[in-house]
Amino acid sequence: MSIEILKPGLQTTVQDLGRHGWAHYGISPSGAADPYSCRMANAILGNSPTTACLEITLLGPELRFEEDVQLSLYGAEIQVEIDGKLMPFGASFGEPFDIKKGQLLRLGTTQNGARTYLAVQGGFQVPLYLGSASTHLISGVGGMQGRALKKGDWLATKEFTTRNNYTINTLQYNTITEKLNVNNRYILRITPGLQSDWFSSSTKALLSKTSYTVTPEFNRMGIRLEGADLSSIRGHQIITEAISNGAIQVPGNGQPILSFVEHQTTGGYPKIANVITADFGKLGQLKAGDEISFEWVTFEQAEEERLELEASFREINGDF
Amino acid sequence: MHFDLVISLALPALFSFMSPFPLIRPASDRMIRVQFGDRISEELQRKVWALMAFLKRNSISGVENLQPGYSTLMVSISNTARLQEIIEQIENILNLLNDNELISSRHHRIPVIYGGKYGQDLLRVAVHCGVSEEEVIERHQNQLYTLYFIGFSPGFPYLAGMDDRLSTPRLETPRTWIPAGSVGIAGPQTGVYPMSTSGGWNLIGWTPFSLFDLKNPLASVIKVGDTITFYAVTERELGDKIELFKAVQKAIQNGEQK
Repeated sequence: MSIEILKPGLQTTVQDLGRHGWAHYGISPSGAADPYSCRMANAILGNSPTTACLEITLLGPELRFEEDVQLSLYGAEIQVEIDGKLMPFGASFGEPFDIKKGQLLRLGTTQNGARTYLAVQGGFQVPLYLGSASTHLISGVGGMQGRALKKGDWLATKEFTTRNNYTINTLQYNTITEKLNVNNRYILRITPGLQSDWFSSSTKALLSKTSYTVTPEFNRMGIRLEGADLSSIRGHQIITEAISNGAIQVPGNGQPILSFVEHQTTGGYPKIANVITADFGKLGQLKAGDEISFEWVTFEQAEEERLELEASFREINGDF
Repeated sequence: MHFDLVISLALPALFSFMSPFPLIRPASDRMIRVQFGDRISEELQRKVWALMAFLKRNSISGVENLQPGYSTLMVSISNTARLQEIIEQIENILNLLNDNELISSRHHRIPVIYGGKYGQDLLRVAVHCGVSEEEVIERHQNQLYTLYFIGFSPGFPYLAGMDDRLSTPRLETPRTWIPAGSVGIAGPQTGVYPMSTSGGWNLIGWTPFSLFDLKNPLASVIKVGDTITFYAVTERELGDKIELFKAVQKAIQNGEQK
């Protein structure tokens, strides 16, 4: 089955849960910016959790379908129009919906977040690069020829064979949705960074007691923030070492940069903190102008939050 | 001066039992940094290579990614793994690991066309270092370089061993497009751009020799611990390979005309 891209949207890419095991070649994992929403979109259709989805950024694409197919949406809410008919807002959100052969699906702008995940039963099919369908835009590899979709592209889908094996039930859906939203989505929980002792306790308090604004420089590589200066007591240059996803780096101007899914694998700025894994979904939903704040937690708390979320997903997906 | 030397020689022996290294600590709830020291040295880098080689050979359940840096290795763990369990496993491995384990190392000789359109900043480097262009080429060729790790972007080599006297600051305004294979200098480092990208290094030459294969990284010619030397060649000596450079140049021009 093929899908024709009539309009690509602002930045629509093929993503799965990332390309792991290649960081020592300088290749960061990439993958869905909001991995939990990507997993939910697949679970709604009964796709396996590693199935490739479309990641829609701010403005959705226009797609025409060659055959009848079932789709799902999760993440930031988005306006849905089928053959020119506007669906009631939220009606096609969080549950499977059908598209008939030849129909036109138009997705509007995202609401309450930056990214929506569109899953198709069976998943989108692109050649795998190093075992993953994820697009790595900065490196120009993976997904659709290493780039975002453009007008005139055709996307193939895979045959769907595992009906209901992984399908989420209502109780599981509500539990996970609640867990993902339990905290204010503008509060990101953080653990101490590798150079947290380069910053005075009053600077560390600044990070959690004042708010930061997301600047227009936010992409899949990093998110620049604006707010109180975080100056280090030991300078802003470390011996080059690895960077982790969600690291809060502080360059010489004192304004923090959040490293994101397509981050450079190594860097030289001190890291004051790191966003916890359970809040990575929130990172993927940030957009310019959002005001966020940080809350310090211990590594134990961060790990508990991550494992609890994983346990909920394991009920649907088993071990994968 | 003499006193300092005595102290620095005696200290490691006297206080090695008090050394904080190797230091293992979480960088996030899914990342663990193993730090063998806080300076750049081949002795420490060998420990990074040894641990990396071990973890690649014996896949440890829950370990997802390995990211080396200078004297450090970052180990990322899967969503379902526990930090403490992996830390303990790494501690056990470090106890078993032979610091002097030799990883297999190869030597590569890399042909470079220095200067002209192939290395537009050769003169800038020469002026900054107060020597002639020929002297820059000579000093660049005379060193033995070691690949410490690949980082930053796909295939980007961190090479140790440049002659300190060639150290030149990055360009103030990075170029928007640099052809793959460009040989550059940035501060005390030299390297070869594996892909055509933007960048602020001083370009001193170009090589058709590909250190890194993006399509299949496992097939890359150069591996950590390998040594390389550069040697100057002329356009004529490169023969057909010069077409590679012309193709990239053409692509750049077309891109800029758009």
